[in-house]
Amino acid sequence: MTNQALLAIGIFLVTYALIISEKVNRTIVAMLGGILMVLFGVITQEQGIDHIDFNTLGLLIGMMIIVTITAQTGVFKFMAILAAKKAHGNPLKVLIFLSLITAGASALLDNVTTVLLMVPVTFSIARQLQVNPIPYLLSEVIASNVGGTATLIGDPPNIMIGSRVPELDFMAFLSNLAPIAFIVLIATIFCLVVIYRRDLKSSPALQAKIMALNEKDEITDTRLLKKSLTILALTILGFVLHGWLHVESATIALTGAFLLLLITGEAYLEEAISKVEWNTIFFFVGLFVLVSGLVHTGVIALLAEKAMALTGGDSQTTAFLILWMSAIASAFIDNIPFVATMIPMIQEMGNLGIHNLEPLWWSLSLGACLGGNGTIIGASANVIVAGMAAKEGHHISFLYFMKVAFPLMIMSIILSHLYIYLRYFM
Amino acid sequence: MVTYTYDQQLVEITEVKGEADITFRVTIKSDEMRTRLKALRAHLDHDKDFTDALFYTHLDGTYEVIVRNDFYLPFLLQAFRLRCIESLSWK
Repeated sequence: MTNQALLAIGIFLVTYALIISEKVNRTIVAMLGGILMVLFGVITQEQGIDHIDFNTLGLLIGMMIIVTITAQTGVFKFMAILAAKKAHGNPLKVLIFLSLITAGASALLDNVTTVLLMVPVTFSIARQLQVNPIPYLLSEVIASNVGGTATLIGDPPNIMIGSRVPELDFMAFLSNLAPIAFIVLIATIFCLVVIYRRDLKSSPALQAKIMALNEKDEITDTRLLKKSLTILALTILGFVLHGWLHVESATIALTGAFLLLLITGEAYLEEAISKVEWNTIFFFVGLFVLVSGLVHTGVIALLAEKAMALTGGDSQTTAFLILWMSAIASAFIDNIPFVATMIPMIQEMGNLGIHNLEPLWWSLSLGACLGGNGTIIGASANVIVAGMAAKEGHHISFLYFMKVAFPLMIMSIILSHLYIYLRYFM
Repeated sequence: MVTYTYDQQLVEITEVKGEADITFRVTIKSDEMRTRLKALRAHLDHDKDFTDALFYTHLDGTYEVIVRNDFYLPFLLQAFRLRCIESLSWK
């Protein structure tokens, strides 16, 4: 191993350790890690820039803009109250319906955005029913991580995989991951209903109060709603067709975002741009450059060789190793740097003789996305919801979250294991 | 103790005190006041605290606002600022 490779490993490990420790903002750490790779001559600036995946960044920015504008219409509150009414105010049915809405929205939007939109209205509904909001918050955050697994645009790991592997388009993600995501979602909601069946009880009088709510009043701007939903629908249609159109997913998302800004007017431009999570965007930039240091010095190729030696180059064993390793790692560390590291490693495995990489990509996606449900720090959405709950006086401890969510995460990985075996290796 | 008055031609407000919060039942009598109440709601929906004041619209057109005890005064101040109430004073 060359000195440059050792230096790259050193920078990578220190950066990773600092990200995990959460002592310093992860974006600052990732950016500095990437910059150090250039400053120490591990890679040139041009090589670093070459590794920044602008498709991932464009897709994230485009969808963030669309969601920011759509959220202002009150459509999420409308849907949540309508769902509570369809459940006749029955607290357990409300939990099921809110989880399904969250999962569905997360499949099309960023998970963090989805929970940010769902949590406020959840507090409102729980207050009317005079029940503890924590079961709802937990169910929603778990459902958002499961729902996000189903599509190319639902969760950052999928965006990254889809972006780096051109043959895996929106429909490939949907047809391969949506079935198992749906199975996991149903099984998870069933377990959550069993877990909380005694806690979620309300009186007929309180349930009647839910039925008396006027969900239509939640829509604040009907014209904006029509425009936003039209553009959102066209954007999703664009994702469905992007494989056939030979247009990258970022182009679709950015077209949708700026078309929406064109028809809604300049008034929305500033807020939409300012609400893009630039922290996350720069976090990605830093990670792409950081990982490029490992790629250029041959470290990733070496790791891939070791993994191949461990599994004997067998595709099935490798897929299961990736699935479980990704799940356990993602439960405790940020899945974005993990996936950023795994992508070139799996690509290298293709060079080393595994011909069918597809099951490996799905294993990585399922492990990284569903693994995030294991602990409160496993996914950004978990951290956000726990923070929002604590601020409102409902503390969700690390252990409480883990006690409920970790077994559900293991169940989801067992289901995924069976799915991968039955679908790709039988 | 804080007291307030409102224009009874435009709005009718009743208050029910609970253990941790106060519930306001609001009947709007003019479109102008409805606009002001919506502005109050928009302001509270955009702050960082989700449970300080929870707004509900009923099918019969009345509003219910559940305000946390610690947010009672800030809520009234904002309602006064947006002219949902006419006066606010200490007694």
